[in-house]
Amino acid sequence: MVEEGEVYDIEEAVTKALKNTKPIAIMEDLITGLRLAGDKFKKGEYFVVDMMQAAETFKEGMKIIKPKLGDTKKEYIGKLVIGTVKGDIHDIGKNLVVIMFEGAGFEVIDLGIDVHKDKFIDSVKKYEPDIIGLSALLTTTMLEMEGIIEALKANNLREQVKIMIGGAPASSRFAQSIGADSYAPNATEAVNTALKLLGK
Amino acid sequence: MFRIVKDIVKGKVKMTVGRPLNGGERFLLISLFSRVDRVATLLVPSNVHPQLLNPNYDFVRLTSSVEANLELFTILRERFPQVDAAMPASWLGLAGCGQVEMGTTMRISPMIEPSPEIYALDTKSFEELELPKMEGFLKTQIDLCVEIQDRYPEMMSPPIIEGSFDLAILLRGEKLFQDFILYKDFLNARDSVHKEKIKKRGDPTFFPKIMDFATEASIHIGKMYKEQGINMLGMVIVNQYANPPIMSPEDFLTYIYPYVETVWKEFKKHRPTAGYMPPSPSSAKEISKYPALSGIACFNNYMFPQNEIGLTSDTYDEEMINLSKELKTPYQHLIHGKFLRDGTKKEIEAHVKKVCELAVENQVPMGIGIAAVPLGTDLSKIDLILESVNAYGVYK
Repeated sequence: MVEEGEVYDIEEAVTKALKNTKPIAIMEDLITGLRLAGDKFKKGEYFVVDMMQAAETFKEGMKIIKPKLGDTKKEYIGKLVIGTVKGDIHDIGKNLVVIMFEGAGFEVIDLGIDVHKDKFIDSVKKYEPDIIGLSALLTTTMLEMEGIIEALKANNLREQVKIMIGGAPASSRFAQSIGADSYAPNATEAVNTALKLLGK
Repeated sequence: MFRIVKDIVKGKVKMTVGRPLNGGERFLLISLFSRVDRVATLLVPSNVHPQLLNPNYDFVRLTSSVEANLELFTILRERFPQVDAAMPASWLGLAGCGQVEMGTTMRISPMIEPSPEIYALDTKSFEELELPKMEGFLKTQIDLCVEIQDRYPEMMSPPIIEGSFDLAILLRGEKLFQDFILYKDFLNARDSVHKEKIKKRGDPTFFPKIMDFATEASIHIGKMYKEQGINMLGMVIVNQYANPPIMSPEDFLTYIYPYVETVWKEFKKHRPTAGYMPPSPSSAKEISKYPALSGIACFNNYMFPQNEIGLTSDTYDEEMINLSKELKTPYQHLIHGKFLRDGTKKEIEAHVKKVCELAVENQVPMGIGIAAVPLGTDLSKIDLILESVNAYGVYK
């Protein structure tokens, strides 16, 4: 249902499933649906509006599942701090990355849009993430990424996090040139790249 | 120049004009699927960051002064005299589309191109929206178009207006995507129970309402250009937010195209083109069946899958050149700014050589466009593209 973006029916379906299925199994189904939607997006079979609908369906399903998971402490496979860099107020791409990482089992701290480099630095100190994700849509704002990496170095934090970048004007060569660890062209690939960076 | 083109369109004269073609003529003739002396080149001035051209110009200055845009345009023309078409000569970006005059607030800072910050429909109701008047950024944009056409009659500088979907986005923001999904799902709902469930998540009738208004606004703005005596030939209607990867071509053609066509029909006699960026050659072929989408502005590689440095595959060029012959539609090969920034000169020359040779060998009219040149780009790479077109893009 997540893959097809059946957001209007997900509440009823999950509620019904809970009668004879363990919440954890339903959650895994929701995650699988999100991953399948992401795969279609990567292949160009799905578009942003399809992904938005799949993500919305996933979130609606999780709203019902979460309280049923009880005290089971969630085991995250990694922690991501992400934000759209200063001067840039676009977030469609970043939001898709957030939902795909959450679906893949990451703890995600979303700093939002127009994020100053100091906020990235403070967040690394506070949350100690495995990965920082930097997003930019504009060719002008993507230059902020380099400043953030320099600030991480100046604060002796660079070695403790992996840095991933994304957004229409970014590229692998650009990532390399500013000292980022990786570039991902889309939300699905971002998760795969993150798993590789963390050796998982 | 425009008379010559009009006559060619009407079949009154052949494409030879008895002297070397100027840039505007070359690009327009290519657009009409006429084979000329060489591949045409297109550079959109606003795609070059002002600071790359002259550090005295920034977006604050450029959004507040017609003269500043004209000065910077002169600098650009002198820097790249070989460019055939350089439309539109404006660094107002999204500021000059009319939405500000309807209530949207822009963020304007020196170094970053203007972007909407607070959308009109975040602060006012739909009922409060009014068509824009000749004032503010919109007036600056229209005045600029008048001046450019007066001062540079030899070049191609048609007005570019936002189409229904883009204007609606500029008034509503990304919430428009959710409006669209609700509308589409409501139309395709299997039964009344399903329709009721959709209504619980939002108003499925809002999307057509805002699109109808935006269509009216788009036509109104187009007429404002016309009333100022601007030559409308070749005007462009932009709906880039309804392009891939945001929306599938199928959704675009089913739900958005009817609005696009309404605006297009209004200006039909001026041979407008509604820009589109298909995700594949087969999609380019499909959309070319639609009257408003049948020109060079829609027959391009911009959204085709790219490699890591922003380069689309040669295979697509071969397919597009073959389709170009079959459909008699000129091919516009667009070079991404990030390839220009990240690619080496050797890679850039090899790429331009390959695509030009394909066009020449197949005698297909082609334009090479340079898209969004980012800060940090060595501008001599643009020179290299232009020189490579001169070297390899001459039709025998």
